[in-house]
Amino acid sequence: MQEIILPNTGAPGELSTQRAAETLPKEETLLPPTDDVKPKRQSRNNNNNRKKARNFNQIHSKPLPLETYPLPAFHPSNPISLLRLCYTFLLHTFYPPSSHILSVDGYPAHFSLSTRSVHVTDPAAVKALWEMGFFGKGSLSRSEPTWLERERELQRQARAGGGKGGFTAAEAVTRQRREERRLFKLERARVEREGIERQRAVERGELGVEEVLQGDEGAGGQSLPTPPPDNLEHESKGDRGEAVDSELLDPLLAQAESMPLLSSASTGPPNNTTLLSPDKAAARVSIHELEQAAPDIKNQEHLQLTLVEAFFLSYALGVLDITVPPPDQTDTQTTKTVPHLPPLDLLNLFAKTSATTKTPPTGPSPLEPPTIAINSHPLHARAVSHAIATAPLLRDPTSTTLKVPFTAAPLTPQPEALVPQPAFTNPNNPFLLSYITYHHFRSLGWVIRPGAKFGVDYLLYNRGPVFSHAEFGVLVIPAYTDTYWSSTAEGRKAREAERGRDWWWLHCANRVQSAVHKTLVLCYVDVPAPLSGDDDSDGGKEWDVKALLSRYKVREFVVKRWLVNRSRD
Amino acid sequence: MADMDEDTIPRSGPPAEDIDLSEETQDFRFLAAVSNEDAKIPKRGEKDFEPHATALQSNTLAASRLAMHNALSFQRAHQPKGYTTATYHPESNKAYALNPKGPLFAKMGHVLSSKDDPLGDDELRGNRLWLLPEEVLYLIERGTLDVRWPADEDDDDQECLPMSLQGAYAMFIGDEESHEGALTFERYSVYSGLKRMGYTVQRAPSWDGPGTPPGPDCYAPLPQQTWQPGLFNISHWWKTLFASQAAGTPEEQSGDQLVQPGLYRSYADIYRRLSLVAWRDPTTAHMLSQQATILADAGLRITYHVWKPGSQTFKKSAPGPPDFRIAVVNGRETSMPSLQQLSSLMDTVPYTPPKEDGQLYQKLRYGYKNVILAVVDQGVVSYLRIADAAFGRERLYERKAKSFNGKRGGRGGGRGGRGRGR
Repeated sequence: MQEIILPNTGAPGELSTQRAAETLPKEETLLPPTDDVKPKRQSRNNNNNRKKARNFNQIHSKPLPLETYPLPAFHPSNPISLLRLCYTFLLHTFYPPSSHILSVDGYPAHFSLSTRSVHVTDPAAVKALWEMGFFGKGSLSRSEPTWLERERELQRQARAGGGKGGFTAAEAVTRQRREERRLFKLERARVEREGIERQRAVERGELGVEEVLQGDEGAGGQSLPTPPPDNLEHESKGDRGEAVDSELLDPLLAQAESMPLLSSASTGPPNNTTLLSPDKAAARVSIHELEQAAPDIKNQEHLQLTLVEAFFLSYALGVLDITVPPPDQTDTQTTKTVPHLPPLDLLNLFAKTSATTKTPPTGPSPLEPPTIAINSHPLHARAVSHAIATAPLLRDPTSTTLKVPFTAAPLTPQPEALVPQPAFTNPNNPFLLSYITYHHFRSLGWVIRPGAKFGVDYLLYNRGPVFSHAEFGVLVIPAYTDTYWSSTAEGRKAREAERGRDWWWLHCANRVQSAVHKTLVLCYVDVPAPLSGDDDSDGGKEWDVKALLSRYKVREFVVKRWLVNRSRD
Repeated sequence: MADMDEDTIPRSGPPAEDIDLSEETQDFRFLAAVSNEDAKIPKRGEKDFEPHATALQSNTLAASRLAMHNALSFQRAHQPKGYTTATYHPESNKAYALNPKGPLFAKMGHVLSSKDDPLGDDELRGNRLWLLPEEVLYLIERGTLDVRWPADEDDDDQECLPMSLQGAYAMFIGDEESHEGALTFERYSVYSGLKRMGYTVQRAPSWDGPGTPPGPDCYAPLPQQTWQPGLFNISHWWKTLFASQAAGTPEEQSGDQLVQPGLYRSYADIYRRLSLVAWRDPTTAHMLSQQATILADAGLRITYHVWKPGSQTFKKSAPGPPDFRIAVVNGRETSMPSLQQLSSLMDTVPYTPPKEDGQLYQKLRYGYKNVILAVVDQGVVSYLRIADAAFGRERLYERKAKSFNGKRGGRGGGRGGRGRGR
């Protein structure tokens, strides 16, 4: 931060300090905006209606929830920098600070079997885990845990009765954008319908062609409405969201203001636009709450970490302290919890949880109609046509129907076998495969997040979801090159899933990725043979998690569509 | 705003490099408007998604249908100028033509040497151009070639029996197994598609067998030995002085967590301790002199070598390295390739690393080795370019450190040596 030297134009004391305060860097402090801070800022920037964009560079400056202590820069021309360097170096030598200072014992988290995830409720931990590495997802939000701020914002707007909102969450922006798009589509459909109607009228002879042309020119050409601009920069998004936000919320708030005047039992002023009804309901609820309860809201949201992320934070970084309820207790009783688990037991628990434990059904009951299924997985329609196309026909001359043996594998890759999995000793466990991929990309510096939104396993971000869109979508594919998998019966059974991945599935995934401007990456994880250890009671204690994980190998392939037309030169 | 990926279903459609106009149906009305003076690409018509019950729409549709019917009902005949006759050779399932003229034959067909020629070394051997089955089929379909059955002894007229199109398909594709050939309908679809686009297509050495073993160009070059100046040692000592001091050496760290609490000077040091998973580095796979020949898996082999249409380097006698390598896959009978298949396929492909100073995403997408898979599904071909990307070589934490150095001035010690810091 540099010193700002201002010319002394007016009153020396107040004006210059006010100007200096105005030109302070426009970053939000790390604390969430509280009510007493907001009005001061707004009064200062009355002419500027623009909401201050959050400085993501500063908020997300640490890529991992650990602290580093770089030595200060050394400028040979400045002797004081040498003194500073020596002082810091000696300080670090005699009183070394710890990298885990942000989380001395680890952020508290607890494992929840019913949701198969790890929950973090401590607000400082939630903030730290999201800001430093983008771990987890808010359970009531889209990605960043913003539920509390959104609720407070609703209340504040209801109380203030209009005016610009300070904090516009991403969900509100999305809602506005979706409404805009919906209105645009309605408008476009209306214009097209009118064009068709006019054409029909011309053909019926009711309307002369000249009148049609006149009508076109008069209306300034019934051109199709232009779609709302597709800006992907977050500052302008914030602006637009803010402006539309106020437009759509003003009639809502006007209605909300008039609400206390009317009786609460009435249906309220007639609502023309259906889009305001969810907001109106929320406003109505919050107003009633205001009248009755104190303004302080209890945060009902927690940060949800997938098992893979939780294991990475706990084992690889050591910043998470996961408490596991004993199996005989339900999640609601938290009286007794198991002390901090060693990583091997944690791996065991997560591996067991990730595998499906469905028992195979005994067969359709006589009352139900028989369904087409293979190994009790319901078949996709495409798989049925595939089966018919590829299977040999059995034509019985006496019957009129064709019999097709269902030998084809189902279309989509099916989950693991239906028998309960043993522990992590089976290296083909889906948790281990996912974790290896996750760890591999994290250790290279990528921010890796679940990719179910786009039909892949993981999405890779360069710095984080707030900075740019993901460039790669990763599919995890197990590979069985070890001779164990081709020689034994269990190995062959495990490889059956390989046949399930066919070319249509790959093309579908590739098309989806190219439509959203991403590149598909196939990450083959080479699964080692199971460890042939003695199966005694404490055999697991001798194994090392690091040794277990180092046995895997990873190889990535990038898939792109090759166009014949475009590669000619 | 948080999470830029939400709602980024782009309205503009797929990116420009992914649009393939040949997949959309053409409107033949616009084809008639193309004349030779202005060689513009004919427009595609507009799409309507549902019938409106207007006379305008049904008239337009009828006009387009009529235009298509007229365009397709054009009778194709052999031109007297470019007329070429070839004779079928049953033993090798090929056809030979005597001194054919035309631009097509500049890149197709082979003149066989005296020991290879099945008809022996007679005076016509130098003029005899032998055409492979797929080339013959393509030329027949195109109308350039007229193939005749070989003359029988009891035929005493000069003109032999012409081969019909059904006959050609039956012999060149249907009868390939008896001649130990490897041309299938899928391979022919790929061949004819590429030829129609103007490419030069030739059979790869692994057309019907393991092919040539991978040579030294399939591996990364061996690292050169360079000598560092003496100053290097001083900077090394300087670096170790200011290095991160964590609890114990990395070898002793085990047990509870990978990253032990300690003093770390930068996030790069933390990331280095996280490296646990082995990944395959294509730059370290070097060819050993006594390495056994790698046989490409029978399911996935390079089928064609393809050169671009305007390639200056292609000559029939010395083709040079191909621009693309294509492996044809039957999409109905096979599933996605396993790692063994892909890795053995990649082993036979030359090593083409991306530029060292390129952009991160371009380098990752280009990959160190690449091959094109042509997946054929009952005649519909889809090309996928598979590249062997090594994400492990592009360490993001080192790139971030490089970009931050400009702003903060960097650490004094880490720069190495006395003298001015940058």
